Amino acid sequence: MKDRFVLKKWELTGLLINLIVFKIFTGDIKCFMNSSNSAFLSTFFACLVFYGVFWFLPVIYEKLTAAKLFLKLKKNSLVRFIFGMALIVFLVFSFKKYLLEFANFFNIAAFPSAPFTFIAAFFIVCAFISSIKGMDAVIKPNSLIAFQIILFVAVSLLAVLKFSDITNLFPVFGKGIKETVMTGIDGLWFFLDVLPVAFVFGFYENKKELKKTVRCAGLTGVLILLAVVLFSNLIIPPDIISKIQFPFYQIVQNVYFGRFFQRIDSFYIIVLTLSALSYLSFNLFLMSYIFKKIFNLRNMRVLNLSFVLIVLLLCTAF
Amino acid sequence: MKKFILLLIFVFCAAFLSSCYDKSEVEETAYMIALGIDLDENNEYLYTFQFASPLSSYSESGGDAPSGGVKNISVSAKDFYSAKNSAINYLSKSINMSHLKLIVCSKEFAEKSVKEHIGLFMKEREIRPSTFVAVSEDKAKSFLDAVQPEFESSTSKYYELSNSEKMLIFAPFVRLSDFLNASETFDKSAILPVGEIIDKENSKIKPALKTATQLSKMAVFKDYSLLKILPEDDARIYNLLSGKEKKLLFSFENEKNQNKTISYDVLLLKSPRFKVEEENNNLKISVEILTEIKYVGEKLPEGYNNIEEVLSLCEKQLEKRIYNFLKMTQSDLNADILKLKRFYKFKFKDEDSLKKADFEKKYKNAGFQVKISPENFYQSNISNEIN
Repeated sequence: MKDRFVLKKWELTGLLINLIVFKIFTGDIKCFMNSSNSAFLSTFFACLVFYGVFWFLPVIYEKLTAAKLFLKLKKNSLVRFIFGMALIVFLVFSFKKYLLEFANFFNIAAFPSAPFTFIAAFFIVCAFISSIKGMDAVIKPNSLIAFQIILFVAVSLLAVLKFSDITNLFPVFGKGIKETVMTGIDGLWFFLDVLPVAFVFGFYENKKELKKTVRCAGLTGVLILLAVVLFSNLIIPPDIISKIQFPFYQIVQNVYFGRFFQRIDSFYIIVLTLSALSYLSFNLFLMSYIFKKIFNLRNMRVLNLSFVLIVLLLCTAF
Repeated sequence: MKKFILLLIFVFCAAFLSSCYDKSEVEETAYMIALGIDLDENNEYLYTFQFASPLSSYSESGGDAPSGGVKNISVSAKDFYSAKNSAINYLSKSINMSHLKLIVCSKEFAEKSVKEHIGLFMKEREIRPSTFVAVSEDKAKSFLDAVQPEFESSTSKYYELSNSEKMLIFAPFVRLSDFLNASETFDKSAILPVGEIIDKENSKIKPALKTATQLSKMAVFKDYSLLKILPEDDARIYNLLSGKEKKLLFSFENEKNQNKTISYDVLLLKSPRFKVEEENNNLKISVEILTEIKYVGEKLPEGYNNIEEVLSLCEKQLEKRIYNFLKMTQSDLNADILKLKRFYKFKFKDEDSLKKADFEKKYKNAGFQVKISPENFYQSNISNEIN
């Protein structure tokens, strides 16, 4: 497997947007809601903090990034080993968590009679094949992902505008200012999976435009997230949102255009599939890439299969 | 390029071929379009499944069959899924609920609690949040058996039409998600339309078919249990106040000639504007309705000399109806079905201060003020001749 590739403008933009927003399709988006009217404010606060960090990410990368530092650390050094292994463990558990999350959604919404392991295996095989074929295969579809996510979210939210109730946003501070801020801080883990993206900044084709591309993509991702939380808050009363497993899916289920276009939620499954595959493949690539760097290996192809087996074992164990 | 094409093939497979695993053929599936829930003699649930039967929608002579293209099956069971399984076993077909349009429950069942079932239906992936829910004054089974659309061969389409916002004149428009949202917020009061089997002898409508049904009246729920069924006039005022109905026709008795009625059209120019103000710990709830009022009649009613006099009377009459409705929901039902608390909570920063203000307690003694602001008194070619 090649570990040298060129990341073009739209590919990096798509990858970043997907990394920021792929969790809106899962139940993780509820971390901002906390059965309170202030969900939008909490998300806004979290997004503000995240974007502040994200804004400096390319600068930190250029000056002294974790990724760069890690890559430039002395080969076979203990620090490099510990840091790399910690990152791999994080990526493995993140992979496992979202693999189960996506498989669970598919089990509920699309294939209720299919065995859970079958669906999880489907995702894992796809991620394995795409990552084994090289990062090119993983990143190329990302140039389309940003567009399809923006289009899908915008159409869905505009179509459900008629069901919204502005009074759901009041009292503005929900359970209090402190609680609103704390929910926002708690929600920062939502963005945790975005940060390892700094490892691929080095592959960007135009180093001078890195800052601009990263910041624009970050802003777009954050705006999509804010729009989804705002509409979830406007359409579903805060007392009910905690009882719903997938809030955004619930909103999309309300979308229809006339008598013919009734089941728009089927597009949700397609968008989620592409988004999930992009994230899982990228995650798998990153695991193998870091592992290869730690132990100065030449071939990454074998590593993919090993990590896939580890994740499968983890899924069955927990 | 090769890799890109390869990935596209995988994406294609993911999107289209993976559904082959649990495919179901149309001829092996029974499509449920309505569901009735009753309580039987053994205190178990009696579920009536109404399935679309496309082949039975046309009679042998070629015209529409009286069945309306549906077949009903009733099953007694302790829970919904047991009943569904019994129906699958009996029909030898898998049941698909993606086309479910209406859920009707009987009055007796609604009086107990609908919480368990509503929660279950909201979580059921095949049931849409936009499915209509209604209470039947008779048994839900009898209601579904009596459904026979007069001018529509497809019962499924009839449900869509009869439950649409435009066609529901004498009952509120409520979807499954609306009912759940209302039942879980504030004082947990909610409303549903009421379905009734038309009694040919006593009803105003004389349908040509043997049996007929309609949705009229409004059922008020509190904490998922049926509280009271309100007449259709109240349902119309509710539709007006909730802003769902923009054009309504009202009639009232002419005081100067009690054999005659005065009818007028109300056209809402904007959704009603509610204000909840607090003075000395007392709530004052005011509603302002910007409307056009039009007298419907060829000639002036008896005892009136000019159109302004008639329209002013109509305006006062509408004010009185709305006031009485608000007062009735407050004192008789003690339920905030219009969710007026929404207009009160604007003033509060957080939920704690809102809770301390105790809206529910203050609402019981709140005063109401209704203001009709006629933008335009409309009159069309009316002669001053007395009717």
